[in-house]
Amino acid sequence: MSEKPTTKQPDNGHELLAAELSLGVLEGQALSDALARKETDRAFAAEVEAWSLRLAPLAEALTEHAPPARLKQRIEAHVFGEEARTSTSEPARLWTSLSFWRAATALFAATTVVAGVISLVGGPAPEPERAPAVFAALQADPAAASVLIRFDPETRQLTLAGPLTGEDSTPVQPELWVIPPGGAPQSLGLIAQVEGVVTADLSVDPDLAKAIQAGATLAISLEPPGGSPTGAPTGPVVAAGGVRSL
Amino acid sequence: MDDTQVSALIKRVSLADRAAFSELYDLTSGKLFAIVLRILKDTAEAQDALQDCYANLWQRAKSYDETRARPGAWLSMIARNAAIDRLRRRRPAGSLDAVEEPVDDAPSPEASALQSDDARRVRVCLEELSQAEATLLTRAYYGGESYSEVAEALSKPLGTVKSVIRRSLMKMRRCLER
Repeated sequence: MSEKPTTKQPDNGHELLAAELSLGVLEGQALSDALARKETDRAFAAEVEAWSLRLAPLAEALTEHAPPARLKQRIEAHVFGEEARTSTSEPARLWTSLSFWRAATALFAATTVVAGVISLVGGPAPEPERAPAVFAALQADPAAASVLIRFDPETRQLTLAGPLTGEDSTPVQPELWVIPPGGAPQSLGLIAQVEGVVTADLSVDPDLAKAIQAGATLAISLEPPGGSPTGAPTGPVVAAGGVRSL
Repeated sequence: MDDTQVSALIKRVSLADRAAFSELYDLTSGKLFAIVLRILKDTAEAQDALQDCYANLWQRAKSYDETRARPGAWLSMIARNAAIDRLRRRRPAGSLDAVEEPVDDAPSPEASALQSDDARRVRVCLEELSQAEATLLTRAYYGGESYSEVAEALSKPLGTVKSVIRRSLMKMRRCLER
């Protein structure tokens, strides 16, 4: 990260606002403003978190209340299922079909139909007033099919899918990186690979979300199981592409 | 909950270790469910919030820094935030009058007995507040209520509620820094 975390103490008003946001008492415009500020002001976001941690012992002091036993299975299916595929709905199955990705990449090669590809893979077109989504097509080589990525800066949801074949003999973990212009790669997370197709549906942290914009590069490297041990890519980069605004 | 054990589990979860996730769930879901249920006061919604909470945990485990937060505090923060997020989404469509059962704002004695050092400090600081300050602060904290919800529930002027809660927050800050 090129920007150093600020050591400046927020003034009293900001600190109070952070405390109020953490506590959950804000509403209406004040709440929207504070939430927006948390997304863009790192010192403020850190102060909100500091307050949450400060008061957390109150929550921890509550007497345990076991959730229904069957909930665990549902939660695990939800959490792990999300890793393996974006969802179980019909359009999502397309995501995991290799032939679909070959076809989509062929379409993608003709830049005039890019918008068509994106609306196909990205669901309904974004409403006009929303922040524009960005996307990237990551290719191993010009002839290969692309891994397509769509990112919505407003919800910070990143969806990714496409073909990616690695050596099947060694267990590898594809990991997605964002590389700001002139900056160091930062991990966006691990992505699932099943039968030569990678998919991910990631919720990107606010700090990293700012890095995903036109001019940045997205890349996938193959890391040891569990992901890069160092926080920087250690394995071969198998696909990379530039980010464009839609 | 043993901090070292929970920290180690969070680290393994950050490496997408499903067995560790399962173990972490078994150890922590009772506490985290109590937190979301207290805020949402609805079992079905609390289950959805618990799902959000563990999904966030799965995604954010790699950002956990044990030098900055005890694991229990960090997990409680994620749970409370998940519940508050659901509450905010519910609010615009819904009403302020959800469930108005009398809420016991003090944790039970057996829970208090198990508290860590900083938990004890928070209790001490809470006791230094005036009765009115402590009542409003804990009501907002445990119920996830907004200023106007607290004001309405207690039939107090909004301005009074705001100034009392703000004062209590600043007092807590000063006390905890001592």
